[in-house]
Amino acid sequence: MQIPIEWYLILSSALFIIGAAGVLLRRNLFIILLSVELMMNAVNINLVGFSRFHETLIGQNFVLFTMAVAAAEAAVGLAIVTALYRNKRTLMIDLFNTMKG
Amino acid sequence: MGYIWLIPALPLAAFLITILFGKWFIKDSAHWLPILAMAGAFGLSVAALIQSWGAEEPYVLNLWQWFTSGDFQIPLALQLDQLSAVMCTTVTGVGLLIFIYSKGYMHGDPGYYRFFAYMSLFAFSMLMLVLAENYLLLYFGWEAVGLCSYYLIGFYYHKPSAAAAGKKAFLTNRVGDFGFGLGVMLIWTLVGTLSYSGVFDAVGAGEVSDSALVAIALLLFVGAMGKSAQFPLHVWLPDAMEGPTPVSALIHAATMVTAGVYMVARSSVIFASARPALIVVGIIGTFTAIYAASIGIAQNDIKRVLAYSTVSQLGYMFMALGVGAWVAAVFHLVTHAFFKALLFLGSGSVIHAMSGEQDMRRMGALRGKIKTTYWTFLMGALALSGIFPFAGFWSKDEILGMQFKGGGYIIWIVGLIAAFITAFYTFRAVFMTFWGNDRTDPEVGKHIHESPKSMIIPLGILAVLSVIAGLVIGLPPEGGLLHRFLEPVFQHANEILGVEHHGFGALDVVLMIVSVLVALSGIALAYLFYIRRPDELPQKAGKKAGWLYKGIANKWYMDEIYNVAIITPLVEGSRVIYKWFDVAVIDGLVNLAGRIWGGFGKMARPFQTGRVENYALIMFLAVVVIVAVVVL
Amino acid sequence: MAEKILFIIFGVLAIGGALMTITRKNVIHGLIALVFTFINVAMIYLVTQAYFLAVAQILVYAGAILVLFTFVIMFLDLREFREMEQFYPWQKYLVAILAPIALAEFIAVVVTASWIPTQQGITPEMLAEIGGNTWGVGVSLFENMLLPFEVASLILVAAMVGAVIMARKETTPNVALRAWAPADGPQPGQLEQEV
Repeated sequence: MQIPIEWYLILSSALFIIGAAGVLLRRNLFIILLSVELMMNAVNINLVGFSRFHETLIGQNFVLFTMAVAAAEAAVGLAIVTALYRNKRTLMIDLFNTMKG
Repeated sequence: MGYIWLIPALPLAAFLITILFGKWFIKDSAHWLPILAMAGAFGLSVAALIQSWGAEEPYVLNLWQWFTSGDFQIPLALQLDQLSAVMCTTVTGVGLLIFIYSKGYMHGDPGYYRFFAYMSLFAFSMLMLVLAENYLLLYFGWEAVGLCSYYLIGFYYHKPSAAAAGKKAFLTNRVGDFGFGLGVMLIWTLVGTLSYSGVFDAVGAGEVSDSALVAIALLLFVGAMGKSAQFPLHVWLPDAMEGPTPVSALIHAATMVTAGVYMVARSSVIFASARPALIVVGIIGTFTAIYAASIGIAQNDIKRVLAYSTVSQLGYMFMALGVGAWVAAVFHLVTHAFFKALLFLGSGSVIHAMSGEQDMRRMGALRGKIKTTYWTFLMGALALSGIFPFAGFWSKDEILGMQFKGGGYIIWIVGLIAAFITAFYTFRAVFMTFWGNDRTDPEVGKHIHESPKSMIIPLGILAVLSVIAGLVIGLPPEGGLLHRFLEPVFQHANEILGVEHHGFGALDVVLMIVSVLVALSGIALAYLFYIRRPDELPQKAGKKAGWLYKGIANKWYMDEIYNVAIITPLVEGSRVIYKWFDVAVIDGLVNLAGRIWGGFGKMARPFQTGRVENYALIMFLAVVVIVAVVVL
Repeated sequence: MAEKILFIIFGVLAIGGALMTITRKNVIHGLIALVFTFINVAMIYLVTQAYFLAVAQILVYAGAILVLFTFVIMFLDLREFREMEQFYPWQKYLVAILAPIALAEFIAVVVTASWIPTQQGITPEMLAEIGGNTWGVGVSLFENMLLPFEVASLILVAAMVGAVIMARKETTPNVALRAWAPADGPQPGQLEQEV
């Protein structure tokens, strides 16, 4: 008995919303990065679910690319975090408001 | 005669090359190109003068269509007739001599190239003015000479008085030019063309009503008043002496200021058809002649004396125009160009010798030290005073004689008095400068020297011209070479006016003797005042004359009257408008517009927190809303 | 049926881990919760017969990326932040309202959409036919996706270089790398004066 596609989508939505909420809620830049990773995983679940539903493996290939991009993003993001921390001695992002109008 | 376009083009080319390359490449040899250009223009002008002899119709050279706007078509066309030829020859001839003179006078000036560039530009503008074929092109030249005059008066722009004088000249000329511009527009409105021949034919055929003609003539004359420094727009000319002396000689004595005379003579048909305007011209001219002469008595600056005498002599020219003595006016214009240029250049030579001193009270007994300058200056002074047989005598006497024979006895008497005053102040200047006691500053006295050859030679040539010009072109009076030459130009106007041609008779001889006697008595009075008893008589006379002397010495309070009557109300009115209208209303409106959007900006500012999370929240909110609206 | 039960178990665990991730005060705790979530997601991949992805998920995410995070957290001394307010002052209330609404909307969209199950989905038999999941993913990747695969490698290189440049300590006064900032070397103006 197959798992219905809706289940994948609901799980994916739940994880995605939780990740988005994390981005919006937290002040700590680290947690925000973690939340972004979470959102990406939610998308991956989506892809895998549809891959199965459509009887093709292309969707799983996409997940691989997502992982590559996630790795790149994590590397660059962490580099930015280090640079920011070195310059501002803080990671609370509501304190970074030099773009204030 | 297709070459006449070269006459203005040569100085223009000299101007362009000098102004573009003068600062870095030509530098101290900047005089060569303008002098050569002027020489070329002079040669061509002489050729044109000879070729235009006896021509019935003016030669018109169409260069191209300047602009077309509906019916309004203005060709860039040059016209050569006898009047233009005479003007061209005078301008280029005197100009050439003054250019040569400037080589010595301006030597070592930091603005050497600039000076020659502007002088060339002036020559171009003036030649365009006299060669124009229509009123708009005339207006172009008119404005351009005003502009050059402004540049050259303010040539020493770092001197505040020179800058102010330049501004004054420009603004005063603006008043005149405004009238002139209105006159040109009125011509266009009423006649529908601006070319001379078209306008004159229409006027001659009686297509324009008399009152309109008077209006046109008066408006044109307002322009002439500004440019030719006639009362009450004369105030700029004495101040214009702040410019370098060659500029005073070329622009403010010999050529540009005669533009008004030229323009009235050129429009002789219009003026002849508008009798009341002609009378106004005569009255203003006569009044200016005696008014300016009276001021000349009490001036101590040698150049200012000459400046007032220029205003006065221009008054004579308009006096002549006022009775339709067109040729006499042009005759006086030409001789005046010679001797006034000579006087100015001579005074420049004196100033050069005196290391820049212009006050005659600190000169004296110079005749032994700078002989050539003295003798040439004396020639000019005699010509200006109207002593037989110098050039000024013939032309001035012709003007006065025509007044007498035309029945204008009052004008004749006023003219004679003005001639008397002229002789007096001219020789006052000569005696104070070259005779009497040596009042020079000892420090300056040590360096007195004769000017270089490049300055002396033009003086000599002009002195010769001042002596013989009248004999050559003006004899016999009212029938001389110039009269016969210019006859075709003024034929039409004379027909309209119905001027009778008087022969040369015993009356003329009597009048001549009278005017020579008057001039001689003026000189004698000056001799008495400033040579025989220089220490007491001038002061005594000044005290006796009381208010008269005060008025003269203060230039009849003309500047003050302008200050009170025009400048102060203008400034104060502007200030009131500025305070109550500009600041309150206009600025208020502009600020209001700014404040409104500033307020909107302030309202929007809180959204720009600079915190990315807030932006992300907005995005999230938007997603929620969009999903709610679109999908559900 | 067993599949569905496993899916629900792992799904609930993943959601729980995710909630833990975004609520923990301590970053390390949040990180460990995230690892837990990722492992549960990997289990869901397993249930879906995406074996290669399940392994890659554990290796790349839980193994590499999150270890990188751990390293950085330990390099930077973040203990002081634990004392601070962890949630965004006023935004948190808005998010608390908005997030459930968004979730409800998403679920509503998913449920109301009509899914036409034309196929049965990938079954173990089909996978066995093409030589197993890993074989299939490999063939698909290198036959259909070769160019994107190479581009992804380029992206990784670029990210690596960028990360190195940004995170390095500025010890050498190398002017060329910091062209936008004034260096200690001679200024252009000075050079002109000397010449």
